[in-house]
Amino acid sequence: MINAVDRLGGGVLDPVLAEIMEAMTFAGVERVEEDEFAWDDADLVWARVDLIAPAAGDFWMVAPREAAVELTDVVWAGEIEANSETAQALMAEIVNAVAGQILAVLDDEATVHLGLPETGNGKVRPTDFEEARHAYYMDDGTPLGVLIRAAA
Amino acid sequence: MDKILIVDDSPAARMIARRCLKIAGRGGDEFLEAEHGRAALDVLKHNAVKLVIADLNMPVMDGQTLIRFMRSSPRLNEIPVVVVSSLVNPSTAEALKKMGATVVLRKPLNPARMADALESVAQLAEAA
Repeated sequence: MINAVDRLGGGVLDPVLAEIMEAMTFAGVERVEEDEFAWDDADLVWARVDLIAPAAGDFWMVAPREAAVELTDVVWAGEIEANSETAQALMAEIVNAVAGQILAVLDDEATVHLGLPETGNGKVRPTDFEEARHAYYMDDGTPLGVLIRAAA
Repeated sequence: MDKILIVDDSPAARMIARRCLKIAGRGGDEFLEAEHGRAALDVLKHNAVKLVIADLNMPVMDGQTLIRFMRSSPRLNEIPVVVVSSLVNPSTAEALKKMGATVVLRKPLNPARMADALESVAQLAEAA
């Protein structure tokens, strides 16, 4: 099984994230230094999903809660109330799309398998597993963090 | 006015599918929604659906199982199924078509991809 941290670097992640954010949120993203994202912020909205095949690990996306709610309002264009819950749901769909696509582009012949997304508020759960952190800013200044962890 | 069933556990994904269908020229149709394959089968039981747009990775019943149920049912067998999923590479797309998917689209969905898929569905229906 492929180690997710080893194979899912910026070369794979950046173009997939850019395409999906453009299609789903109508905004571009730009990579910034990892420490420009406030990973220890207690008021984050996060979504995560298990990467099962062809790479094993898990994939997280995090954003400040207030920014995630504003993004949700833009995407839904007032059709629903933008709040923490709907922001988590939007984040889950983005995570599902990005994680699935980065696995799909790793190997044209492999069966691609993800878990079901989970969401929450607050800090990212710490672990001792190997991990890679990626930080981005959207066009409107919204910071996004992506965390990829290897399997246990 | 046709009935189009959108099957995805994500409300955001269903909203994006609705928007793409409208922009692709199906704004006059009625959109039905289901959160997973089991709920989709209930909708199909009570409605004359002309087209199904389905995700793969869903709780309760996934998209592959939904397609298998539909293709084994004399009443549902002819309904075209457009699969929309992030879990698509050439290998999985081929396997899904063998299973009975009419068209396989990769997420993120956009109006151009949806319009191409609707065109393919129409061409396949004409050829049948």
